[in-house]
Amino acid sequence: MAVQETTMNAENPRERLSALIDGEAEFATPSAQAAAFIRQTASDEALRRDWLLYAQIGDVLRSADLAAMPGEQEFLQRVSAAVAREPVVLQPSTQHGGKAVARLARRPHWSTRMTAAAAAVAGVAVMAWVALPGLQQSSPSAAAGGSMRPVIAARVDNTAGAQIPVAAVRADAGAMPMAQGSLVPTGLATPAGQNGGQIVPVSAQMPMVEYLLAHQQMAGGMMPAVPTARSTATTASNATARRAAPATSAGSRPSCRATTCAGVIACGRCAIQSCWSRRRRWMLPDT
Amino acid sequence: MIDQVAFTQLSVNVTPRPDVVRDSLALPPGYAVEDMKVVPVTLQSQGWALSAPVPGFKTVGVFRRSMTVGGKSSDVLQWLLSDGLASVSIFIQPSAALTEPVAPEQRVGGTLALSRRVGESWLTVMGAVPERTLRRISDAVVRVQ
Repeated sequence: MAVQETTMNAENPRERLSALIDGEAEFATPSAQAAAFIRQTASDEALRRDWLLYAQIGDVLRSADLAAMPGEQEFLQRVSAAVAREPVVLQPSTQHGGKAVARLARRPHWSTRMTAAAAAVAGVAVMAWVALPGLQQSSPSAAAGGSMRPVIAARVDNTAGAQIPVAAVRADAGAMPMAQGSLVPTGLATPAGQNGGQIVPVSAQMPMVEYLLAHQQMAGGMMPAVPTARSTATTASNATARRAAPATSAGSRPSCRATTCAGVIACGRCAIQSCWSRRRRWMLPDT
Repeated sequence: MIDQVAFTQLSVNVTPRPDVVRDSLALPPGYAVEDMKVVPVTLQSQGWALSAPVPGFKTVGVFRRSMTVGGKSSDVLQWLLSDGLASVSIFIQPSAALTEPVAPEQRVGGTLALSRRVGESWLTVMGAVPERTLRRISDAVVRVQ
């Protein structure tokens, strides 16, 4: 063994490199000699290339999946660039006062309760993201609109800690002539949304939203369905009924947890403008 | 419109808790419940028709409803057509009720909306159907007295 070792040391940096990768021979224990060779490898272009090659050979021997693909570097760079371009969707953290903590403590595990809410929030955020950028005229003038991208900001309600999505849209004047002019800076999280109308309610930017809601309400998602004669009659007789919910403590912003809720329209001013089911909708009175 | 939903967390085998269910059924505090004013009507009584049938599409419902368009509540006729999978809503309202100009074409995801004036009425045809189909439906809507 000692003879072979000596031969390697003296003759062939590549064999030493191989021993280094395997942690064998002179590299089995830390030594000044080993450190010197590692420094030499690091500073030598050819040795560095060999090191990468040997490492790759080892990888491929262990698993064919680790083999380098043609154009792999380019692909990885494209992925990195795409990730860098993604708008940041902020996940609101929860802050709650002592009262809220006490209330939550009586309940099952926090994560159990919030899973559905978190999923709903995420769903709404994604839907808003998907739906909002598409809202533009098909006319050629829209094409000139350019690169303004919608921004989804999330807001933390300081008083209640409710998870509330806020869809803040950067209005493109070319695409949405009815939009109010003020723009929302990228990735904005506005505390309590009081920044003097910087966030424009979605409904003001999207005149079509009411039509869309009405259409979705009647047409359903995939399966178009209309209320039966009996249920629509009930709707008609209830037409004037409007029940106000018991007022909550000042400052509390509820998140919608109604099981029949089909969706939530996020609104910059009031966080949740309304949600709706087939026959009813829930609205915050101050919207 | 193609709906997309993403989940950031999924819990399985969660034991249902009665209080959680009860809470979720309760009216969220601070909300007012508004029953939608949707009244079924007949197309004949409203005086609208399709000048030429659109193959595959049938009327599945005609309603009068109040809608808030441009911050102003107005009475709108909603006429729902469907081919069994896709649906098209035709909204008709007095054009005088519109305070602001409405773009003739707007797109929300896969849903296209076409708007035009018909006499004293403002017509909006909306649905997640091919543009040609939607134009055909839009062009076929006529006022009948």
